[in-house]
Amino acid sequence: MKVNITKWSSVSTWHWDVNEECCGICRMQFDYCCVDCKVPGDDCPPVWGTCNHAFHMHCILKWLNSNQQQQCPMCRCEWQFKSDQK
Amino acid sequence: MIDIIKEYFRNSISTGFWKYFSDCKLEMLLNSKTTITNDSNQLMMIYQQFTVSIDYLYQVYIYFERNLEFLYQHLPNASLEFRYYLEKLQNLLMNSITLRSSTDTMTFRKILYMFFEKDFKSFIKLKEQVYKGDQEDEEEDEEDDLELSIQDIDLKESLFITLCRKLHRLNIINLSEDIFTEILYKKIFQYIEEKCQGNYEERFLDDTLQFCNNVLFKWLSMIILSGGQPQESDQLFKQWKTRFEFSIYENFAQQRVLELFSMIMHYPSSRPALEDLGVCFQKIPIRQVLIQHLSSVIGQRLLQPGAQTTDIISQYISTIQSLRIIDPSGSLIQTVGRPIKQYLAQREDTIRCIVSIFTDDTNELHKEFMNFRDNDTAELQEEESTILEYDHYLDDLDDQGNFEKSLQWVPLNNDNFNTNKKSSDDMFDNLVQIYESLDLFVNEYRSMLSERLLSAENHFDNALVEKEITNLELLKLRFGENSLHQCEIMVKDMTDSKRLNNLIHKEMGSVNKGVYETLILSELFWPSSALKDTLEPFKYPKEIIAQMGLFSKEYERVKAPRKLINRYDFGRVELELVMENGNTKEFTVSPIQASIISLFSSEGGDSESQVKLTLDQMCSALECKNKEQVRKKLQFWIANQVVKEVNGVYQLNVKDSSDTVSMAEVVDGDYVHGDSDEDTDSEDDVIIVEEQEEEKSVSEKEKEEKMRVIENFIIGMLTNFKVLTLDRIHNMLTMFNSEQYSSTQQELKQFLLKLINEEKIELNNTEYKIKN
Ligand SMILES: [Zn+2]
Ligand SMILES: [Zn+2]
Ligand SMILES: [Zn+2]
Repeated sequence: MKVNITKWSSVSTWHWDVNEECCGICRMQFDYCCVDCKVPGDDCPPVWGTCNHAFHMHCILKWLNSNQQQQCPMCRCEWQFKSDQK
Repeated sequence: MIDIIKEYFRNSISTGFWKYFSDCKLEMLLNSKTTITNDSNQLMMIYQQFTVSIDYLYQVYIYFERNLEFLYQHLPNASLEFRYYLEKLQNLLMNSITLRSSTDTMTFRKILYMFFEKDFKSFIKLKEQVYKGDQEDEEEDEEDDLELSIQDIDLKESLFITLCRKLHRLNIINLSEDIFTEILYKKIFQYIEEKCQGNYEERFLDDTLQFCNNVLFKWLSMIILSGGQPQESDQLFKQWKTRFEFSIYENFAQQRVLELFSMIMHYPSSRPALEDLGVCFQKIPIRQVLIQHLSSVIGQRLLQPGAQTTDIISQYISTIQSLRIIDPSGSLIQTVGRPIKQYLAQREDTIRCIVSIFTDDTNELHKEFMNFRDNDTAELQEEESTILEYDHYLDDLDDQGNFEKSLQWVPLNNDNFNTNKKSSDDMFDNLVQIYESLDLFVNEYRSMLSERLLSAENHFDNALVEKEITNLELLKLRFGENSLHQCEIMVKDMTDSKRLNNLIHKEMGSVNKGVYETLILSELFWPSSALKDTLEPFKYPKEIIAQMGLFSKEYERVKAPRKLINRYDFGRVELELVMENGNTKEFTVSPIQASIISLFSSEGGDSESQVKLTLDQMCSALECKNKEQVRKKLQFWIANQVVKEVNGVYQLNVKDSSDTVSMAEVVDGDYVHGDSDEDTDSEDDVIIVEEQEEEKSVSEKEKEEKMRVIENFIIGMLTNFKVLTLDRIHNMLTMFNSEQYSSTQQELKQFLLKLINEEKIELNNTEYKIKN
């Protein structure tokens, strides 16, 4: 006997490849989105600092704009975007 | 002097008067309960003699009146008005007539009744003849005055008027008011009953009023207006008319109120009858009676355990529509609707039914709802924005915030019913108001939406998504954008998945594309219950793993830094088994079933070596630690006679003789998605098979015992109701026997099957009945 599969329709879920579950600034899950956004995914990605801490892009930008010191809110080291995201 | 007159009246008038009736069988009038006797000749005679006798009385009266007047003028000290003496005279005369024997009063009244009734009847008959034109009259019982011409009618009427004038002078009209009132009422009530009862599709109120104007009031005017002073009579006649009109409204309304429930059942074809009742509602105070009657009928006939929830909702909607016609202010609905709402709120499946009305196009009431909506759409369309344009979200809030708010659902206590509200809004509000919380609806909708989307035969079907977008638009307008945000993302996942699958398949190239496709969901936006994992992960067939790997890699490249997690519980596989003898068999199954059967596929095409596997071997091949799970899912293939078990070893169920049974049938497996409890028949089979396979646990035996207890109840119901569907039996058991009965419909079906096998009941199509 042979099994001919003609259609394999599966269901999967997508997730950001982030170590932490929540954004350290807004406390929302990365797979959700930042408080200012409505739609998860493309429009509200996480970004990493060179210190390897991740935040919603919108959240860290807001943070950096409202603070004199360009520091990571988690570890207080100087914030630098990690150029090669993983 | 009065005494002398009195004496004279007593002695001669009485005898004189009754002599006219000496040939008539007056007992006949007294004995028969109704005044209409079969002996029309006798009646005719009494009628004639009455006319003559009144004439006699009139002559006597006039004579005495003149003399009295003469005497009065020459009375030196007349302290009282002449009128007083006249009344005295009238009374004396009347009294003297009825002094002869004890039954005289009665007899005289009967004669009066008979007189008015007879005249009225022939009057009506003539009027109807004139209206009907040349139509033939079927009734032959009053052959006397059938063929009268217009002149004859005029003559007859003028004779009647003359007689009435005399009766006025004798004060007999005054005494007979109740008699002709009764006659008129009888006629009009009968008219209303005959014309309107059971007929809701025409308006009758105006017609009835017109009939009264043209016929009844004409006759009444002959009686009333023949009185002495024209002004006084006019006034009197107007009072009579007002009183009668009121009674007509009252009787008409009464008749209609008694039929209101039935009218509601027939809505919308009963609209004319409802409009008539609406006119009455404005004119006379019937509110209380209407509420009392309708509420009690609804309680008795609608809010019953045996009634289906959808039926109750459907009736509730009709009630709303109907009562709005009667009372546009909406206050009737508030009162009458309250117990229905409360009753519905207690039923578990109500929310689901309502959400289904709003969104499920297989629901009967959904069509009705959409029809209402279509009528309203023109206005709404201007406000609609397309669902996937999230960029405009903030703008939307600013620009349309106020508008949305005005359309949004307002909690229960709103008395400010808007009269010209759109009907679909009205229906929507009234259904939603059954509950105090909006969240209940949104949650139910969300879970139904996830079921529909996940269980769809083709996830990438445009029509499927378009339908849901329409639903969402509709609900958004009512519930507000925010509360449906998650649902919007769910629908967006569907469209995004389709786009991504297309994109990735293109990148992969036609060779590598394969048969694999996947729905990519934003997990946090779906109901957690819908995406619950119950299966232990297992390995897909090699070719699928390869395709899935390529797909994931491409996805991770395009959507970095994101990854995909496969959900083993979900999915749907279409496959074809090609047997050694060339026969093929098609199945639609869940991924785990597909993975299991793929283990039996002979790879090299070597037909001699049959694959033989133990459960342990299968588990390790599938890399699945849960043996029980594999064993259970294997049952599907055993039940379909694809796989068989020999001494703990599983192998293909190949028959030795080359059988020619057609194998090209399509069988569906349990491609169940999560917890969604769809009850397609194919799926049931699998469940049954799996259950039979398992040793009966103690709890199952208990369950069977319980089912035996309710067997009596089922037999009882079938004896009472003759035939019942599975649904109804299930509902009634749930309502009445909730303590003993906790089975699913599926279990009940099995149990009924048992009863059928025991020849206690039988099944015709979908209806169960007692086996004779
Ligand atoms: Zn954040
Ligand atoms: Zn954001
Ligand atoms: Zn840091």
